[in-house]
Amino acid sequence: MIDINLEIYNDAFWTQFKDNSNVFETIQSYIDNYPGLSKIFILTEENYIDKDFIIDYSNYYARCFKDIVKKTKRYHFFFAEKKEEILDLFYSIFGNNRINESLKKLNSRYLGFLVKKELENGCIGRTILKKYPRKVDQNSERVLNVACINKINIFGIPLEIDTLPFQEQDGGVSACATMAIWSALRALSDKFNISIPYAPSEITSLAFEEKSLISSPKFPNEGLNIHQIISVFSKLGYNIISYSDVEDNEFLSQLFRSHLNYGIPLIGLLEFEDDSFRRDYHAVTISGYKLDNLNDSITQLYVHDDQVGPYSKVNFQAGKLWEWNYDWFVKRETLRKIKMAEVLVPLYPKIRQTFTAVYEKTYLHMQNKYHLKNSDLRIYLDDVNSYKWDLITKIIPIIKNKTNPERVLNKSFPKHIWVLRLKEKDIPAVDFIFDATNHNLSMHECIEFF
Amino acid sequence: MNKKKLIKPDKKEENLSKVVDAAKKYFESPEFKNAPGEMEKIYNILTPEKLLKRMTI
Repeated sequence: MIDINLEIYNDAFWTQFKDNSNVFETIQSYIDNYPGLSKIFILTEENYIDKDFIIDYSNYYARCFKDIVKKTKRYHFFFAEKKEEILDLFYSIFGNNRINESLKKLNSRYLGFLVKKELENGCIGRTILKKYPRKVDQNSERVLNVACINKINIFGIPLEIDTLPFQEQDGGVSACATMAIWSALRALSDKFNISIPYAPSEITSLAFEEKSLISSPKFPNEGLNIHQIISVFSKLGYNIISYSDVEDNEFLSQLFRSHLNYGIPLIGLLEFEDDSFRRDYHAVTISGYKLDNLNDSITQLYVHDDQVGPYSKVNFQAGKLWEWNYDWFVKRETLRKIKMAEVLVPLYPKIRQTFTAVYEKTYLHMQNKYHLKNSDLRIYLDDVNSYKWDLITKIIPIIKNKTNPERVLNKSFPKHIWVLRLKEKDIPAVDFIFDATNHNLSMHECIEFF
Repeated sequence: MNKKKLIKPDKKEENLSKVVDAAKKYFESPEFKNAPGEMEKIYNILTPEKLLKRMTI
């Protein structure tokens, strides 16, 4: 019988990260505050070969004079009242006893893992932690659709978690932009299947293929410029649409929601201004948002910030979606302002109609012409399969006129669509469907639900 | 007699119908297809200076 050493999780676990990580406190808080957990137990996998790190090791660390350990430790987190509950599940799988049931239960008790690299800076490597539940309370929800299926294997047992991977910058092969791209590519590769997820050092190398008027070395990496970030996505087959200096809440709210709901990660490029008006720039992956259902508004963003942590909560200064307030103000006392200066949206190249035109020509047109409230209108990007599935599962059961939506189920649709939805008393009344794959914006279908 | 014809649509549905019909007509018109996009010129421009902004944090 395999000896499984499950240890009780407590604050002492984090002592080993204190000197070598900037993000461990956020991860600790994420785990400690995970809703509805009882006790947590840790299973340690010694001498774990992490694919990302072994690639980074061969691209950079192997040729450093100082000895760097190429193997890592992987810590798995399980939750239960007693550790015997977890052990019983493992042993029943090994004993081929109710294997499917036990596997399902074990997966439901699995919170995820983090990899610890033996590095002086940025020791927290690939981190896969279960997303918080969608429901926050009666009136609000977390929208965390930017994710991928992560397959994890422990002692030959296959587990999986649907979440967005995170890792901390190491200052060797990666700085913030590389890590923001790394997280985003995980979700994009899973969704569109046109690129493989690259290791951090590979992303940085790809960026440095671009002659970018920068005289810094590739490794140790001191950061990428916007041109390099865009070139990485382009080389991997994505189109990048940039949004600059947007100071318009309605525009940003629809921009965030229309892409994040569809599972497309956004790269937020932030301008940090300190007391002496010095400016620095930082990149993060925007991975979700918190929606206030009463006011139909975004009250928080969630970002994977490689120097703060996964699913870091971003609040807004004076309600402005472009002025951010989050953990950085604690980390940097001289910080005066964080402005989201640019947003980069990586898109599958067949999505040819982009947000701005759709927003201006359909959403704003309807709003201005018919004096509609913001909450009566929504635009969002979708694909035909998920749209039709939503019709079947969410729309048809709640509407009066079921004939029209049923009629379109067997109709041919473009693969990608923009939907302008008009609601009446919170119930969908009509969907105007626009072909997102066409070079001209054109309406493909209009489906009335009333 | 067609029972459906005896049921008057309520005012709201009538109004909604009108809005939808008008919007549908507009989205199919050449005016919509040829409408210039003003916002793209404001928000979707990356200047050479911006391209060189480096994320150093």
